[in-house]
Amino acid sequence: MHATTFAALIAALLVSVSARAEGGSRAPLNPQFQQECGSCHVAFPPRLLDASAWHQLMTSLNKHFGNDASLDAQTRSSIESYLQHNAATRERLTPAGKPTQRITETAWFKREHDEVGAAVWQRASIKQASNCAACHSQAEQGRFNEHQIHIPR
Amino acid sequence: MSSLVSAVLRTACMVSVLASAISPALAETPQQILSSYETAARSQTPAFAASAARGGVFFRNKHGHDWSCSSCHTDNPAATGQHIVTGKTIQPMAVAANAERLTQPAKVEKWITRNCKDVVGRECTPGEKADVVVFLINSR
Repeated sequence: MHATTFAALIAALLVSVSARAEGGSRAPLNPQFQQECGSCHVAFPPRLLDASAWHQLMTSLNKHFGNDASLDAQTRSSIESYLQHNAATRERLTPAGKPTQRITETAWFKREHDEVGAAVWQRASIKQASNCAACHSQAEQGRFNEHQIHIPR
Repeated sequence: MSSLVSAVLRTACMVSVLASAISPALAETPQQILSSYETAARSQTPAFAASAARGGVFFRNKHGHDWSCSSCHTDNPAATGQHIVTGKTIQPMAVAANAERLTQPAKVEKWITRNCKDVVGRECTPGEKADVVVFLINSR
């Protein structure tokens, strides 16, 4: 086997392993989703909520965590399709087993971040748990690899 | 049809497809956007004239609720803002500081509709929109 083919195979294997470690395969970036949802917060990876939660969220955008985030019908529907298509295949529930639209309330999120102390979350440079990009330097590009984490002081 | 004519037609077709793909919405100037809100305001109040001073007061007022426009955009529209909930950076609103502002009518209308509901608790009138737009045009 050529060395380059071998290297490519290893790289592909690593990508699939890291995608699995993140809890699902990485969705292709969607410019419309990035632009519309990424104006106010990180364009969160679709795999972090299940299809039912995305549906609830995308049909109540006029009351979106205390903000009006309404979209025109066509944009809304097109973004919801993207989210549904790339949603988590397993349910993303709270530790108590309840449905949630808050990624940071899911059992998965809490498990992944259980080593982060309460004082760390409250740092001015982080502000709140939904501010992925404070520590995940590639969050805007949808990459949450453990090697790209830098917890700010 | 000669091959030259068909080549020209093909190119013209490609150019028009490309152009429609590149420009998502019809671009306008800030003045055109201001004019359309002023025209709408005059259909209710014929003597209406947009006022940057009034727009500035409106921009900084909390309107009896929790937030003003300034809560995220700062008191100075030419400055970089920060989303009050998420902390995400918001580029300046003033046209003088950010040439992309007030060039896409649909984008302006989308944000002003949403944000009026968050700040004022209702949709803004065309007159209020015109005042804020002229304030953003005049801010340095």
